[in-house]
Amino acid sequence: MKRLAQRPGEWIDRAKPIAFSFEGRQHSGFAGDTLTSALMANGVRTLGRSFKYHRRRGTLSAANHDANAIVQIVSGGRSIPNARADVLPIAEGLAARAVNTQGGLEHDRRASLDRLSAFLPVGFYYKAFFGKRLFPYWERLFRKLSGLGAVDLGATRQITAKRYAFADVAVIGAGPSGLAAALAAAGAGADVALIDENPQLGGSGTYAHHSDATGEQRVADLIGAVKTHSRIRCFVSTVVAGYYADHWLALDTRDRMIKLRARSVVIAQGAYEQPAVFRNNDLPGVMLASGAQRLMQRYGVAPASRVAILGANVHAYRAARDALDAGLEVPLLLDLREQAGPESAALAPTLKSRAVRIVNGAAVYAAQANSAGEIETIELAELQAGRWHRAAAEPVSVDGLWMSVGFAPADALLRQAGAKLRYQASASQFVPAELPPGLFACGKVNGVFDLVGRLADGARAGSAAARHCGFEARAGAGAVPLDVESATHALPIVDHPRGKNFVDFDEDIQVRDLVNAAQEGFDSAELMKRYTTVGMGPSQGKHSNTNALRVLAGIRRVSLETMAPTTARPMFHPVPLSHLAGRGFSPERRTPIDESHAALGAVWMPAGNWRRPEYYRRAGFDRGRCIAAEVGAVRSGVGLIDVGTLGKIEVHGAEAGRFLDRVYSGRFQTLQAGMTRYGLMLDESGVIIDDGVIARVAQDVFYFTTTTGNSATIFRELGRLASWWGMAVGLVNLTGQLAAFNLAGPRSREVLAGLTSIDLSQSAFPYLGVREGKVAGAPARLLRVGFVGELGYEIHVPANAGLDVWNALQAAGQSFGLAPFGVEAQRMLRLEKAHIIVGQDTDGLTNPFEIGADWAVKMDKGFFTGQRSLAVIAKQPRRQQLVGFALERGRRAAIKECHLALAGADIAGRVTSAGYSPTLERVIGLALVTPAAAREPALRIRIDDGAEIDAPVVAVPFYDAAGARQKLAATGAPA
Amino acid sequence: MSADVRSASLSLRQVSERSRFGCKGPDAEAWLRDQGLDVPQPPNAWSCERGDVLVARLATAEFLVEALVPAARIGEIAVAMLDPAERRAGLVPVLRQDRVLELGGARANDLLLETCNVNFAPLAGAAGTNAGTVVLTSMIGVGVTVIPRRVGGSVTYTIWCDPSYGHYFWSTLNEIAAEMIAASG
Repeated sequence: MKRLAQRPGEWIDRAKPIAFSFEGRQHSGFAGDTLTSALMANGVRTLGRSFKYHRRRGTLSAANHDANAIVQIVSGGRSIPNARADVLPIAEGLAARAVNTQGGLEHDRRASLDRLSAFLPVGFYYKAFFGKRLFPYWERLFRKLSGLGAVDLGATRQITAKRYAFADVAVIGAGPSGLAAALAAAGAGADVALIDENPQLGGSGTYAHHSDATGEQRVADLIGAVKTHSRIRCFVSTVVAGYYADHWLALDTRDRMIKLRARSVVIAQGAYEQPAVFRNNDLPGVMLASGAQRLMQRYGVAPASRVAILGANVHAYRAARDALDAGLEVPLLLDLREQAGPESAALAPTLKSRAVRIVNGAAVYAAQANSAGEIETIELAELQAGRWHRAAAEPVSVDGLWMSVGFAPADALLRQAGAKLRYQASASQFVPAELPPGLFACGKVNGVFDLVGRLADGARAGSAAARHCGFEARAGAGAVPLDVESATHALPIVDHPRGKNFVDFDEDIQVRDLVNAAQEGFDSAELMKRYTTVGMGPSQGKHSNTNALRVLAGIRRVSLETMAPTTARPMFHPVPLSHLAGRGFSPERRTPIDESHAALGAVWMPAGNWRRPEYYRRAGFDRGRCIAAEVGAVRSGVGLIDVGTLGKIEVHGAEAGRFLDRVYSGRFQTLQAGMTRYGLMLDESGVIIDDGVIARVAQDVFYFTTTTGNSATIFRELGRLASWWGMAVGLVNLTGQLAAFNLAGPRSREVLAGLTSIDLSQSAFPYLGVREGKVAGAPARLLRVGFVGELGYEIHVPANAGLDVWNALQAAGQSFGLAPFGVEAQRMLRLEKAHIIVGQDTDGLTNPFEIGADWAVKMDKGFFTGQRSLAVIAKQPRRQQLVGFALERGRRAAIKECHLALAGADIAGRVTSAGYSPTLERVIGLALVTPAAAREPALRIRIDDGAEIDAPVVAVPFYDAAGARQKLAATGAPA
Repeated sequence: MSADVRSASLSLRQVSERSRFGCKGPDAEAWLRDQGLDVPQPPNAWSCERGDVLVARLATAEFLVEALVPAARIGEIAVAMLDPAERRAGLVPVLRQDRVLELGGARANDLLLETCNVNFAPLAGAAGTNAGTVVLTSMIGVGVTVIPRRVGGSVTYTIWCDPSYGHYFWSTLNEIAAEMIAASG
């Protein structure tokens, strides 16, 4: 290995040397080098250890897909795992180490696993977990052995904000066909985004030679034209990691994720060269011919000095020519084909004249390693009766073996986009058979490998993509014919009795692993993938899926035409988690009173996407005492809570009452203007999905509340229903536009009386009434409700006036001892009244009968959502029932929501609400349990520490069962 | 809440204090015309014929009316709409207490590209001084109404959002804008 003389078009800058280290040893390279190319130039060919057997591995593709050359890097003070050496640019001071070793790359102590491979058969992981007794042992062992790289837990978060981008035509792949497609589309007037994973444009045009003698210049001209075209934006070093509906593309750049929306897309991603399968095909020094060409042409690195070529197409012959031109020795070219194709045959005399021995109908039977673990000799195989056998010929000494036996199209994005593919036997590859609207393919993914053909195919696809967007582009001449000489061999696989003929380098999967999996019944592509993990490693099957499918087809004795590749899903290529995370947006809603809450010492809690005061701090009080004091203030005097988070919706129109009758289980057409009524909202299966108070503020105007977390969902659903039912109602979502407070407690009327001209007397404004007027000068809607079980007024005012009204209420309440109270106090106050909270005291299966809300269901009215299901449910035995429980005074137990209620050894239900009631001086709660458990005198509740508590079942409400306090007629403090 | 962001390339300021009201329903358009307002005809369009009152049609039958200058006395129209004598079945008042921002500067589109999946570039190119397109979409997870409008030769984006998201919306955009300004020196 050495640096070659400077080459035209190389990607490195030899005037800029760069020092870096690998495995603790200092090396130097040039600006533009990848870690792989720089190490190869320094004579380092072992770049990593394999995942399972810890075998030595080198570079395979040098094309962003080398799953065995993965490193942990320290750069700029950050430690980053799982960087790919084959695309990682070196930087001054870069320190890299191979991942997945114990004791370093050279002396990896886990290398002994290679000798134990016979005891680690396919499915070993799954089988290890069959036994319960050894489960923990295997779990610990696998956790210790598996995984790549180490996360730096001390790293600070790097914000990698996502961005959106837009284009008329997105061309994925900037090889010759992609360049031609981009120019054709842009020439028609389209705004084009050209995307490529390489740092420079040109794709294979920058390293592979062509049948056309002017090919290099044609590619260079295309690159120049693209770079100067005003309508083409180039995204280099960018992988399209996913394809989503409506031509949304996930672009993973070096810095961030870009979501690109295109009106049409051209897939010009080319093809992945595929390895041949033979014993020890993974030794450092064995690589794809295209990988060797990349290293030579782009980075000026000779990957070997004496190299054999294993080929089955003209690209192998060209690679041999490239090696000779670079000054390498090429003693042997093995052609799997018994008869070379016409293009190969045309090159053969030249190669032979340069001392290359060409053997047709030959393969590599096995490669052997030297003491350093890198390739030293190859044994030849010959065809006998259609099967490969070891040839009698002497092994050949080499320090490199380059494989060019075929390609697999880069069709994952095509398949994510919904394209249908078929196997084209003459090309030995899958090609698009049917493309969804707006999606086009060109070049090697179509089976077109010849440069002239690719340029024509690219121009055709680019023009078609532009036409799809409405631009006038010249219609193409139709599909470009396939090459006369297939680029891909149908079965480049040589079996060996001693195995180690790897199909999947990511996961160390050999031919016999696939055979064994099929014998165990995992004989479809999808099952085999999951059982063997073939294609599930970091390269996502780019070099293994095709060969695995070939092996499976051979086992099942079927043709590849009858087999489907495994499903392609995003992400197509590994993406840094930081890029996926992006900036991270967490929309948070705040009421207009937020700053006042903070000033009052609020301790915040999330409620849906709102932030609300859980309680307010009091000097010298812990949390429990603060909440108890707030509860006490409401029960004995007056409290004020911000309930602006409730959903607030208006329904207008002559049909508004009839609409609400269909939406809620109660009856609202008969509700008098000026009054409110509690309502339950159900889904089609009769399950409670929401509740609230519905007020009729005018004959044709209703105003109602929803639970805090449901307002947006309910509003959307009501809009849908109104449209579906064809009802002329106007819906207005006022949730954020209004502030709302609940002024509650026996002295609430006195506080409010000083701020409004509304007649608050019992006769003028009775319990469950609604009135409109002004409060503290602001237009207000008042609802007399009793959620917390005391005389109370919900006061709804425009958001902009909210803070003024809140402050006015605080000031007016000062002389009455008014205290603000938070969510926790409200929860206890309503629990004392056994008022449910939907979603807490109900679950995704709870119907009104189970919570004792039969009274809120009017089965005798016309249709309402859930009615038909309730009619069926009413005839069936109850599944569960909400019951109250209360411990004896003085008895404390940490009963919490979701603790289990037991019936013997069985689960009888769960606690839905629980807490210590300062009013009743005992622990109280609600539980959803079986009817049988509800009939027992006590619930047996298992708490956190495993203790079981007997909690007596009691009647609810726990407090003021008659509701006299909330209906209170007289003013003044209770006795 | 932090102050307005201003730089040569990017500005972000709050204009929530402007008077506004909304209405919807089948009679809303005719009623607004009766009040002497210029109502845009196509769905999702705005007009501002006199330069002082902006009328935006949101989808088909909902309207947002906002005074662009304090002298534009639209408060009286809003009060009239709420007058029981004016009430009609097809006219539904909509309270608008929105948080409203104006985004401008050469890098405004960069900020939009980081926060919203709508391609505003062609809309900005077509933005007028007296009429244009209304965009109902979502930015940084919040439902918004956006109007690109040409003011003094450059494009300004007026953005309305629910007031309960106001703090989050303003502070997040502010943070992103500040980063962009810092990055561009």
